[in-house]
Amino acid sequence: MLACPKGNDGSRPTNDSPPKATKINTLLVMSSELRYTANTQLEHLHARYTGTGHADLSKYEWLTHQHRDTLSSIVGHPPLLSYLAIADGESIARVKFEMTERMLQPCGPPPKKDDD
Amino acid sequence: MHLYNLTLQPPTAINQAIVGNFSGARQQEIILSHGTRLQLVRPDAQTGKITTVIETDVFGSIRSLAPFRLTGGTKDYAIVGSDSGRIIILEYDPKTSSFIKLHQETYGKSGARRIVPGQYLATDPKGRSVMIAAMEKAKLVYILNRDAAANLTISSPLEAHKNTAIIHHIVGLDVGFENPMFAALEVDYSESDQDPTGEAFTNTEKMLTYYELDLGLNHVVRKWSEPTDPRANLLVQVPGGQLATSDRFDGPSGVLVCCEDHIIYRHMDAPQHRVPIPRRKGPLEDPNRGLIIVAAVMHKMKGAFFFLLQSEDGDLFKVTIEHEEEEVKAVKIKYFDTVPVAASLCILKSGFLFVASEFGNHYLYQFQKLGDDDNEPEFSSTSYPSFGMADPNTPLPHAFFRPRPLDNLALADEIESLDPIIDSKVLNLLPNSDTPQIFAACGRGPRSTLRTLRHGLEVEESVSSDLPGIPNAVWTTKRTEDDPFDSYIILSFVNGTLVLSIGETIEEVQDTGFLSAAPTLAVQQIGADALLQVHPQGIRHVLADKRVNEWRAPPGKAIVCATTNKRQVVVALSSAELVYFELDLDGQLNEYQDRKAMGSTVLALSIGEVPEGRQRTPYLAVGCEDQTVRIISLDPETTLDTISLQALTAPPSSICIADMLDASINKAQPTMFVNIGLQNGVLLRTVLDPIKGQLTDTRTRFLGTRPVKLIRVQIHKNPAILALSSRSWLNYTYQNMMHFTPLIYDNLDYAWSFSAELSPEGLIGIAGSVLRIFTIPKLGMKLKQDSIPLSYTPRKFTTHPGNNYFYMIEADHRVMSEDAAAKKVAQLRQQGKKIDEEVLNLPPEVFGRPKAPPGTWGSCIRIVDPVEAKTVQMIPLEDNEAAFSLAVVPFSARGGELHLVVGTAADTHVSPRTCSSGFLRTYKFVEDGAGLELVHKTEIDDVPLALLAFQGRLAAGVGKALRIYDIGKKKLLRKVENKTFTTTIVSLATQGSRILVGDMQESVQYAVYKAPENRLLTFADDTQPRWVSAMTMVDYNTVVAGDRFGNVFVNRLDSKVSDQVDDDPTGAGILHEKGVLMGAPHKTKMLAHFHVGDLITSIHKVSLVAGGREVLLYTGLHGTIGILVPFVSKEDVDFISTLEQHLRTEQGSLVGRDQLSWRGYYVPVKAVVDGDLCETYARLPAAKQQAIAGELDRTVGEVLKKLEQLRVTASGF
Repeated sequence: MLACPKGNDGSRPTNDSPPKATKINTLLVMSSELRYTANTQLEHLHARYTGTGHADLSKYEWLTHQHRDTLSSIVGHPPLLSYLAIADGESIARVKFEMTERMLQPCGPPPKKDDD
Repeated sequence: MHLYNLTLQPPTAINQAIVGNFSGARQQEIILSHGTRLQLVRPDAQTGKITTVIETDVFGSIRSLAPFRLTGGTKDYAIVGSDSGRIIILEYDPKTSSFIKLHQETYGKSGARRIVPGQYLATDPKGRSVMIAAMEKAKLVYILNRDAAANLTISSPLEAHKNTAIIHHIVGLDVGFENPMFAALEVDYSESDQDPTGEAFTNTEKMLTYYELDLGLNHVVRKWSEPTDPRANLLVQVPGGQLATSDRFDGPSGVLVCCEDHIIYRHMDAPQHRVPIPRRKGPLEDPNRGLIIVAAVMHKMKGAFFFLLQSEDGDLFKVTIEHEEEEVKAVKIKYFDTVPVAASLCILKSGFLFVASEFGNHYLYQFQKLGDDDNEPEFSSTSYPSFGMADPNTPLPHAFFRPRPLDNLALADEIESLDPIIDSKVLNLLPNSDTPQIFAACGRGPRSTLRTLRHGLEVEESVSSDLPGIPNAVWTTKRTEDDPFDSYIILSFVNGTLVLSIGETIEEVQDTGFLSAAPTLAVQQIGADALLQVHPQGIRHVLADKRVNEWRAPPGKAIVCATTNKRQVVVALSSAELVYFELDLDGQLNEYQDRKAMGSTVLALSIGEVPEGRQRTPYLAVGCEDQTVRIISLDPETTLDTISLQALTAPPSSICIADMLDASINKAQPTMFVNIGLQNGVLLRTVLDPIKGQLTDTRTRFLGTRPVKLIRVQIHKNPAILALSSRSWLNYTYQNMMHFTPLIYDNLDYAWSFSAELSPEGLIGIAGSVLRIFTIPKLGMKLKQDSIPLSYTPRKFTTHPGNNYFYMIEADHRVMSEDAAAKKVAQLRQQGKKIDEEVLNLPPEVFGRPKAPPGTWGSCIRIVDPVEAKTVQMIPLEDNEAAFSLAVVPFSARGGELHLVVGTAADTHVSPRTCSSGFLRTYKFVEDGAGLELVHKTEIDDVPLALLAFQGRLAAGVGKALRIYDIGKKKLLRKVENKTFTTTIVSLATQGSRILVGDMQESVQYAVYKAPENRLLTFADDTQPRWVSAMTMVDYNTVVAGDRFGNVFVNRLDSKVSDQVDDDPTGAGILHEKGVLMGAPHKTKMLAHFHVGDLITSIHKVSLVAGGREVLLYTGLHGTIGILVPFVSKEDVDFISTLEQHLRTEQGSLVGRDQLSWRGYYVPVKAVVDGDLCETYARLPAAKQQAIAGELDRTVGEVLKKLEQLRVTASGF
């Protein structure tokens, strides 16, 4: 499961720049009102669609998602699978198997957390 | 620029094949998925030949296919998992001969995504439910049932998702009539994703999980989950459940888990059984190499069942399970036979095994025996402690077998497949051919071939014999109406007629009643049992008792031409009069009282066959010297009245009326076509309105340089027309559509149907003074293939400007070269090891070569003579060198002498790409190109993937660098280099001083060589990343390329930029220009884009018809051959695009994919019309055709004519 911290402002940098006109200001208020519902929705979407990114995504997580998506896309497109099999001199089934196996940990173990 | 994409040869690779009774009849059929197409084939149980029933494009990518049958039903349905985000249930309707989409349920987004189901399908053997799964997490279960009217119903989906689980395979368990269960092979990655030490990763277990669909609660539960072998890859269903009528169990139920090196039998609450996968014991085999099962099939017979599992090497193993009721006693495995590695295996009840090869031709084998009592060693789980599961983590001792030629199977039929096409050339090399051939380097490993593809139908000749003179016509005839076969062959010479009788031998006969002293104009078996001969002086009506009634032509007049059918005869006299005869009910031939004066010499006559249950055919077509064709009534009310008249562009030479089925015009009944052959070699095809007698919908086609002769024949029990000119053509109906294809055969002067006991469906023809009897075995195959075998996977080939040889490089990864293998064997011999010669010398094209570790290569350079279809010379490469590129270069430093440069690399690893050293081998041509002599070998630092002759020097793409080399005494000399390319250079093209560079990931870049300063500079590139796989220059500024994801696109450089770059003599301007978007200073503009659905491997700009326009021809990895035709006028673009738009809404994709989004899979379609979609117009119901044509302000005929014209003028197909 991907964690999605609550109350996060997301990636929008709107809060950093001071409001120049009142119109923009009201817009900001509106969007912050929307933010609460948007977040629960987002959380729901993250649970539903594995591989969706979020603001606190680490490089490792992003890369792992990319690789898993790529690997499953290769398996899902028969011409690509044939192409790799010909290049590597293996059977198509073997390439498919190795690709699926690699989805488990495509980019090595995760980096150590620097909590300490 | 606007292009029209047309597929000439659809993909021939098979991704999956399923067997079932799809038409509901007793006979079993196979549905083949070609990735983007579905094909239904029917193997004939008697002859063992496969015939195609239907083939349709689905405009989407088929990823999985499963058959199922509702409980108690007799008809199988097909479930399709595709990239449409929808589950589809298809039914084959034999009445309309088409697939019908019964259900289409949307569950997710389109595209082959990680968590959108469609990759895997599993059905309950009792047809109650289906599970469709994604690569990760998502699994949906649908319940299938019948409603009150016995229609198939499908429920809303039930979720059986498991987060963070990668799915390897799913299968439906056979549990009889208990709640349906599915087994899945899953790996959970949540823990390994969180553990930086990597410990969780190593401890991750592969789980075998059972999901039960509770039909009562309408709910899916995870019933059971146990770890299994971490290298498991495939599940196979084991029969189970009780029959309703008896207490006996069909089998123990459960699954076979196929793992690397082992097969494990598993079931809930039951002991496991493990057997090793036997391996070959060859001196060159690596005993530590893992072996997996790639394809499996289970077959149930009365009271028994067995499995055939295929390993990576192509060896089939028979697995049997001994069981008592539900308890498994032993699992046994033994070697069965070796066949090509399959993508899918299908066993038919009639005793056939269909092998859909992963690469190359597909085969149908017939079972000779089931390998029950032979001496093959059998390995049983009972011979290992605890049925082989004493220690599941350590492998069982190796089991060995000796591969041998086919014993249990015998080859019955073969389906030709081009898959994979790796490189191609389009040239006209063969003698007596006016259209170019496609030479395709196909196949993988030792089964590779170089194939010559010629447009036309294959002809099988059975008899060819010389005649005493040169006849001008030939006929065959039966003696009576009911005879099954022909009795006589009649040959007409300038001054006489020869009659031959067909028996055990063919010999001359005299007593037939035919006049032998005069030439013959027509021969007909007329009435019940009489024969008719028309000769210049009269008509002879030979009755069954050999009495002859003769009608004599009026004195001074001769018969010039005649046409006959079973009841009618029309002759034209030299006085331009028509005489009409009809058979009365007593079998007497009566002349109609009036003669019709035509006013112009009659050159050709034709009447159709008498329609079933009628007295006569009502129309006669007369071609006159005044360049007209008239339709004349033969109706009793209006006999010999002229109904209509058609003007021609040249005098007619032959006319033929035939009733043929063409579903684009009339779905239910044959259409009456009037084919008019002109003396200038043009054929006009018109439709005769059956009520008004008007000629409509005229289409023209140029057949050849000689006057056209038309003959009505029977092909595969359907009427067809042979059109003879300087080439012979056949007009026939195949799968309800009309086709017009040349025959690949000698020119014929005349021909006729020929039916004898030995060849019931033959044709007889004369060519000069030779009589030939032949058949056309395969209709619908429009490209005839001739192959030359190769040793390794072909990589590239090139032509020589001075001779007709091809220079080809071949290379195979994970294969030992012959030289290295011989060394290893010698070494083993020295060590005193016994060498099994028989296994060592097994033919590699059947058994493959022993697998070697990565980084090992077998490779060679080959000179092929494509005209003689043979290899001239083969130069194997030694020291683990493999060839990757080649070019013929005229080095100006050697006075323009041609050299062959081959780019090779030693100890190459594919991923990541490394090599110990790259080489450029320079060869001199000797013996007029039939031999090569090594001049020198230049060491380089990376793998050279692209070479090109450039201004009398060599341009080479070496890894990321583009270099120009000149020839030196001891090696090639590097002159200039540009290292700014992003990934790896894979293709090069040139015009003038410009070099186009195709990068592996970064599309096509434009570089220029500035000689005065010796600079090589890139000045333009693409705004999009593209994984270029093939490219060619369309003109100086335009390039067409294909990428790895199945797109084809056209990029063009602004002509202003082009001029500016050319005008800069030193390149200083480009050098100091600022880059845009982190790339070159100028960008190309995309002009056209289209998703083909197959990986493009080569593109050529060629003209396919003599004097025709140039088109872009591309080949795809899976065997696709297609063309992109530029439109000539804006009107055409508007017309065809509007038609495409209508068809898009009218004709939904069979897999539920939106055609527009399929063709714009990665980038929206731009300026390309999908011709394959447009051509489905011909198959639409008449009302819809009418409606669309109405919207376009045309008639249906005009729309069809336009489509045909586009196809014919561009490709000749």
